[in-house]
Amino acid sequence: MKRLVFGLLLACSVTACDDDFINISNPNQQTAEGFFQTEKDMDEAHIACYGTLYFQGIFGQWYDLVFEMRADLCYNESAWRDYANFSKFQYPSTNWECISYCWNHYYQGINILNNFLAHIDDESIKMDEEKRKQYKGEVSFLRALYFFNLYHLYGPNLLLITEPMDEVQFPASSTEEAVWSQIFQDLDVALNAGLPNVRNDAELGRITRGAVLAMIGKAHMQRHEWQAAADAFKQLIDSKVYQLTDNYFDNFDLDHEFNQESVFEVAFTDATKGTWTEFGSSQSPSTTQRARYFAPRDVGGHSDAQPNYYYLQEFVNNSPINYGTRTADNKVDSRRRASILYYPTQVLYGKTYLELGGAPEIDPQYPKIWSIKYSNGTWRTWEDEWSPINLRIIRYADVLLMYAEALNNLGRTADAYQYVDQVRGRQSVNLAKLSTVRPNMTQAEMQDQIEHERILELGCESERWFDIFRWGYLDTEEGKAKLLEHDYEFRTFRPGIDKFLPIPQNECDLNPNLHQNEGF
Amino acid sequence: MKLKQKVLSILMLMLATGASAQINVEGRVTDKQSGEPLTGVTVQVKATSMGTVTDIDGKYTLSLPSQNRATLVVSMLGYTSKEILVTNTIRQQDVTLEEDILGLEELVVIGYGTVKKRDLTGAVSVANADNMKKMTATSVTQALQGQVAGLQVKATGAPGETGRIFIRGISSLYSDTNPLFVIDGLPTSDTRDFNPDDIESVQVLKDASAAAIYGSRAANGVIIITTKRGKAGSTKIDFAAKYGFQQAVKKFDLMDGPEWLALQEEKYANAGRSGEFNIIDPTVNTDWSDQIFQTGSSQEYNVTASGGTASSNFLISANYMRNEGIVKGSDFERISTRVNGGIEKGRIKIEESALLSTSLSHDMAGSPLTNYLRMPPLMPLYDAEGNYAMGGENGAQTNSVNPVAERNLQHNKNRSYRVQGTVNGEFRFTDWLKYQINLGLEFNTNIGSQATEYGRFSANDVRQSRYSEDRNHFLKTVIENLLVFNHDFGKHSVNAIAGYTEQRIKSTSSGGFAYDIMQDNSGRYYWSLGNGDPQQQGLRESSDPTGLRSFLARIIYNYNNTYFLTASIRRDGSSRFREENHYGNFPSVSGAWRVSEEKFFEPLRNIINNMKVKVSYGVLGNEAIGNFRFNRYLNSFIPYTFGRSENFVFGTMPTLVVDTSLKWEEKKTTNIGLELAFLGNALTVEADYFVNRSDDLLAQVPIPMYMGSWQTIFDNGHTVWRNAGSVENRGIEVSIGFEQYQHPFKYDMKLNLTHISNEVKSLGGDNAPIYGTNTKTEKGRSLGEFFVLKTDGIYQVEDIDPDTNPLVFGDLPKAGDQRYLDLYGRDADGNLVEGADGNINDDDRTYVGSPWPKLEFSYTFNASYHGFDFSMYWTGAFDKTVYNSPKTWLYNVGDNGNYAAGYTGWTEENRSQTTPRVYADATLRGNTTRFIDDISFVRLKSIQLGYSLPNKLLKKAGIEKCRIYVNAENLLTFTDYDGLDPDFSGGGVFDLGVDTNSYPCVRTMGCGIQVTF
Repeated sequence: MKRLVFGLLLACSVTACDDDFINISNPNQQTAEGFFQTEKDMDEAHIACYGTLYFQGIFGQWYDLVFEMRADLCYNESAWRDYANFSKFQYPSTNWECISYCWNHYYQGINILNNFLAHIDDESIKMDEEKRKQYKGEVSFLRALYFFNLYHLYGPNLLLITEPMDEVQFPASSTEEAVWSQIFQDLDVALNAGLPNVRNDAELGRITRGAVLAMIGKAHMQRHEWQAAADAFKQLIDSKVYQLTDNYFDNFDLDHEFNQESVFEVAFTDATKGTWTEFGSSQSPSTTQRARYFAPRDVGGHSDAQPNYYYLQEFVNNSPINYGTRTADNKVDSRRRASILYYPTQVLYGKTYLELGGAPEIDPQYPKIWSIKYSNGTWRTWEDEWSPINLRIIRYADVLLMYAEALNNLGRTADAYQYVDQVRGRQSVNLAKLSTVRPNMTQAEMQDQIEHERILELGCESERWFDIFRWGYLDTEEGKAKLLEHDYEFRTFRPGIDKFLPIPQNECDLNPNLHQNEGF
Repeated sequence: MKLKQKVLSILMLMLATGASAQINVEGRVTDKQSGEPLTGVTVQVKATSMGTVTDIDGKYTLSLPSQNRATLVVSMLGYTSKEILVTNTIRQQDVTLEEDILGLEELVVIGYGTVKKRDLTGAVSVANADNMKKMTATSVTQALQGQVAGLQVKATGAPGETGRIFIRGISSLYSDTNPLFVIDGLPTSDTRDFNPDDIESVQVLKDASAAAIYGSRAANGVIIITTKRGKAGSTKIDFAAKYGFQQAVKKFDLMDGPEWLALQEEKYANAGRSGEFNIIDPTVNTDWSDQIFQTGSSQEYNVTASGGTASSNFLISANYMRNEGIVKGSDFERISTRVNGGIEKGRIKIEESALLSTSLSHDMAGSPLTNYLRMPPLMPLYDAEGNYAMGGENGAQTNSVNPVAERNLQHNKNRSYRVQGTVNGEFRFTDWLKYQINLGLEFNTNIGSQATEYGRFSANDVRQSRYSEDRNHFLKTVIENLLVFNHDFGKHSVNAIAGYTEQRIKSTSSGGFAYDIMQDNSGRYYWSLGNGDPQQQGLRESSDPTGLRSFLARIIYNYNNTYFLTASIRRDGSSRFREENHYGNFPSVSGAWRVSEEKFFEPLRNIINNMKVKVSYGVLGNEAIGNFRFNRYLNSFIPYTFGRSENFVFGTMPTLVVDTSLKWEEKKTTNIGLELAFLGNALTVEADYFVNRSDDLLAQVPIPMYMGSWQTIFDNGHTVWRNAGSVENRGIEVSIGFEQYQHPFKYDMKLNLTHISNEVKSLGGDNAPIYGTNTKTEKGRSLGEFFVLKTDGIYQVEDIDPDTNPLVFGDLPKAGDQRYLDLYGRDADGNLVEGADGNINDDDRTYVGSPWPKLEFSYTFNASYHGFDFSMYWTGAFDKTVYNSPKTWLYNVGDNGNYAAGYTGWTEENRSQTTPRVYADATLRGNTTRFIDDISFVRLKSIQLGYSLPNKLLKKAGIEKCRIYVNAENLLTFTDYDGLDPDFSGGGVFDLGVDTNSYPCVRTMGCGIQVTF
C-alpha cells in the first residue's frame, strides 16, 4: 500500500492543488467597477461624451447623407443602387444599412450621455461645482441635439431613453410632446449651466452659451414657436460674440476652423487615420467621410450626393426673388462657384471640372456637378475616408436667417430685412441690399425670399431637410409637388409618411412596445 | 501481504524469462475463412507482459519459462481472441482466428481508458478507419463524413477548410457546434494541421454517459482519435500517393451580354427612364465566372515507417498535401510529420506521440462568389486605359467589387506552425492497479497577413496600399493523473478510474497595420509593417489565459458479461466564469443487458445471435464562450479633438451590456439503445432513441440597438452572452449493417438513418423570441425557423383595384407587383391580431418552414473480389427548408449586376405569376417566400474502385502490398434545389438554413496508389 500512497503523493506533487490558475482576471481591459468615482473619471467620461459626435451615424459619416442627400437640392445615382434608392425613399428593408446605422449610433451616443448624466450630480465625486455644472450642461446639450436629430429621422415613435440601462429594457414609443419637452428640458439645463460665451484656444470645440441659444432657437423654429425662437436668437446676436467671415468659403475649409462665424462645430483631425471597424480601439478614427461621398470618382470620391440643376440655377433664375442677385459690379453671386463645381475651367483637386469627368453641356436631369463645401480639393488632389475638415453645424449666418424668418412670422417683416441683408452683404458676397431692391415685401414674399436665401447661403450643409420639414413641404401633396419640381427623386415620396424613416424592424421585433412608423 | 506476494511472483516471473530453462513454442496463425496467414497477431502469455507477434507468414515463436503449462492469448483487432493451452509436450501450436463480425472484442477508446465493444453501455460509434481512407479526404472532418450515424459534416470545397461537425443535431446555441477532439489524449479543437492518414481509429462519443468523463467541454460530443503506432514484429514502410482534379459541382447560369442588355433596356423603359441607359460598347460579352473559377487539384503524399518488438514500437510518418482551389487565388498546403513511439519495461510503460506540422493557405479575398454575380456581362475586363473596368455611369455600372481587381490587388496569406504532443506514462503497481500520468502540449503559431495594393476595387472604392499582420501564439499544457483499477472477482468484473487534471492555455495575439507601403520604381511593394506611413499605423495586442481544473472518477462493472453498469462523475472548474460559478458537476450513469447471454434466450439464439439493450443518462457541460465575458468593461478609446491645436484625446466610458451571472450550460441526455444481430451475425441492427435537453444555454442573444451596447460601433446589431434557455433534441438513429463473405467475394453495406426533432423549450426570462436572418426562434418551435412574408403570385392587370387592394408597405400595388398574403393587423392598442387589415407590412410575416430535415441518411457499400475492391458512399437529407440567398442577387433587377439566365419580368403579355415586373430603381424585398425553398437531396459523395496486385507478383519485388485505385467525390447529386449546393453549411445557429453562397461544393476525380514494403 505504500506504493499507492507514494503514487498519490506523486500525483499531487506534479500538479498544483489549488484554484489559482482558474482565478484569472482580464489582463487586457479595465473593468467598469470603480469608475465614476473621481474627478479624473468624470474628465475622461466627459471626453467620451464628445467622442460620440464622431460616430458614423451621427456626424462621422451619415449626417449629410441623411439630411442633405434626401432633400431636394441633391440627387443620388450611386453605383450602390440600394443607396440611390434610399434617396428616393425606397428601402429594400426597414433594417437597411443607414436606417440601422443612424438609429444604432444615436442610441449608442445617447446611452453614453445618459451614463454621464446619471453620475455627474453624485456629490461623493469631489470636483469644482462650476465645472460640474458646466459639464452637465454640455452633455445635456448633446443629448438634446441627438434627440432633435433622431426626431427628424424617425419621428415621435422614437424611444425617449434618458437613464442608463444595465439590463435590457423595453420602453414604449414616445410622443411628439414628450420628445420636445425632453429636448427643451435638456437645453434649459445647458442654458443655465454657466457656459462661457467664448472658449479659449485650448477648449475650442466645447459647447458655448451661443451654441445652446442657437439650438434653443432652432428647436422652437421647428415647433413654429416664433417668439421663443426670436428671443433666443436675439440673445445670441446681442451677445456680439459672432460675426460673419469676410470670405464665404472660410466656413468650409481646413484653414479657418473655429472662425468668428462658427456657433457650433464638430472638430475632426487626421492626426490618426483609423478605420471605422476599429472605432473604440486605440486606432479609432477622428475624421469625417462626408467629403468622400460628395467628391468625383476620379479623385477617390463616390459621387453619391450631387447637387441638382435646381440648386445650380437658383443662383441665376429670373424670378422676383433673384432681383439683385448680381453683385454691385454685375457678377453672379460668388457663392455659386464657392458651393458648386460646374464650370468647365473651374479647378478642384488640381483638375478642371471637365478633367474630373464633368459634362461640357450640363444635363438638367443628371447635371454631373459636385458640391465643393468641405471638399479637400482646395488643398490636395484626392479624397479618402479621412477628411480632417471640421463640420460647422450651426453658423451665425444660419442664425441670422432663422431670426429673420422668426421675425417675419411674428409679423415683423420690416425688422427681418436687416438680418437677411447682413448675410447678403458679406464682404465676399456683396449683394445689393434687399431693402433697396425688394422693399416692402409682404409677409409671404419675405418667406419666399428667405427660403431662397437659405438655399444660396446654406445649400449642401444639411440644413435643407430641417427647412423643408419646418415649412411643411414634407406633409402635403402640394409640398411634394414643389419638391418634385426641384428633384425628380420625390416622385416616389409619400407625403406625411416618408417624412420619417422607418424604425428598423429588428428593433420592433425585439421590443413589442416600440411601434413601427405608419406606412412601413 | 497478498499484494506483496503477487508483486514478488511477478518479479520472479520476469527473472525467469531470462533464465536458461525455457521451452519454445511456435506456430502459425491463419484466418479461418480464407486460410491466409495473419500478420501482426499478438500472442501473449496470459496475465503477463510476455509475448510476441506473428511475422509476415503468420508465424510466431515464443520462449516460455519451464513450467508445465501456460495459457496463450492470441488476439488481433477485428478477430475474436482465442486462448490456447501449451504444455511441455505441445511445442507446435497453430491457431485459426475467426473474424469478429460484430466487433464485440474490439477495444473501444472511451476516454481515460478502453473497453471491449461488448461492454459498451453508452452511445459510442467507431468510425471504420479503412472506409475513411477510401475518401480522398484531406482532413479528419472530411474523412468522417457518413461514417457514423448521427454525425453530420458540413464542409465547403474551400482548400484547407475543416468544416463543421454536428453530433445529433444542435444542442448548443453557440455558433461553435464542433465537438471536442481528443487526439492521443490531448483535448484540442484544431484538426486542420492533422494528417488523416495517421489515424488508427476514431471513436465518437455521442451521448452523455459516454462523454461525461470529458465533462465541461463535451456538450457537442467528443471525437477521440488514436494515431497509428508501430506493430510488434512487422517493420514496414507504407507509401501512398493520390492526385485529383477538382471542379465546381455546379455554377450559376447567368445572362450573356445580349440577354442582359435586353433586360436592362426593358427595366429602364418600365421605370419611365428610357434613354438613360447608355452602353458604351454593346458587343462586349464577358463571362465573369470564367474569371473566378478554375480547375482545381488536390495531391497528397504519405510515407510511414513503423515497426516494433513486443516491448517497444515506433512510427514515423511524413505527409505533404496541396490543394489548389476551384476559385482562383485559393490554395492550401500542409507538411506534417509524426513521431510516435513507446516502450514497455517491467512495470513501466511510456508512450509518446508528436505532431510537427506547418501549413500555408492563400485565402480567397473578399467575396468573389457574390461579386461575380453582380458583374454585368457588358463590362469589359479592362477599360480603354488598361485599368480594371468599373463601368460607365448609368450603364454597365455596378457597385460590386471587381473580383479580378480584388484577386490581383489583395493578398491574404495564413501560415500556421503546430506542435501537438503527448507523453503517457504508466506504472503498474499490481496486475489490477496502475498509475497513469499523461502530459500534453500543444503549441501553435499562426501568422495571418493581408496585403492590399493601391487601386480601385469598385466604382466607389479606391484603396490605399495597406499591410496588416496578425500573430497568435497559443500554448496549451495538460497534465492528467489517473489511478486505474481493474479486477475480476469471479463473475464480477470491475474497472475503475479516479483522476485529477489541469489544463492551462496561454494565448497571445498581436497585430498591426500600416498604410502607404513602400514601393520601388518598378512598383514592387515591400510588405512590412515598418514600411508604411508613420501617421497611419497601429498596433494591438491581447492575451487570453484560461484554466480548467477537473476531478474525475468512473466505475465500469459487469456481471458475467451479461449485465453492465457504468457510472462516472467529473467536476470541472473553469476560469471562464465568475468565482462563485467556477465549478460544475457532470455525472452520468448507464447500464446494458446482453439479453442473448441469458439462459432463457438460448432457444432464440439461432435466430437472434446477439441482443443487447442499453440505457443511459448523463449531464454534460459547455463553457465555450470565450474568456472574461462576465465583467463589464471600460472602453478607454473614445476619442475627441479639442482646441485650436487639435489636441486628440481619448475618453472613457463603459459601453457594453453584459450578464455578470454567466454560468455553465448543462446538457442532459437520455439514450435508449438496442443492438441486434441475425443470420449468423451477418445482419446487424442498432437503434438508439435519445432525448438531449440543454438548459441554461450559453448564447449570444441579440439585444436591441437602443440599449447602446457596443464593443466596436461598426456592428449593426448587438448581442449579449446569456444563459438563454433550453432546447431539446429528440431523435432516432438506426444503423443497419449487412455483410457476407463467400470466398473470394465479400461485401458489406451499412445504412444509417437519423431523424431529429428540435424544440426550443424556453428562451429564458419572458421567452422573448430571437430573430435571425429572416428566421425567428421561439418557444415551442425549432431553432431558426423561417419567418417571412408569404407571396401569393403577381398582380395581374385585372387584379388592380384601389378600393380593395391592400397597401403594400404603404403603396397601392401596380400590375406586375408581387402579391402578399395579408395575415395580420393591429388592434386599437397596437397589438398584433390575426386577420387582414388592408396593410401588407412586416406584421404579416409568418412561419414557413424549418431548416431541420425530416430524415437524413448515409449509405456505404464495400465489396471485394480477388484483388478488386469497390466502395461507395451516399448521403442525403429530405424535406428541409432553406433560404436561397444567391437568388436575392440573381433576381435583383434593381441592382445593375448580372441576373439568372432566362429571367424575365412580368409584362402585360407575359403574365407571369412568379416574377414581378422589372424596372430600374426597384428594390428587392428579401424577406418573402420567394427566396424560401423546400428541398431534398441525395448525393453520391464518394465512389472508388481499387485493385491490389497479387502477392506472388509483389513478393519478388520485395513489396508486401500494392493497391491502385480511381475515385470520384460528389459525382452525382439529385436535388430539387436550384442553388449551388443543397448540403451547404449555413449560417449561425439562428440562421442554419441560410445558404450563404459560400465556397461551392467540389467534384474531385482522382487516382492513387498505396504501397507497403
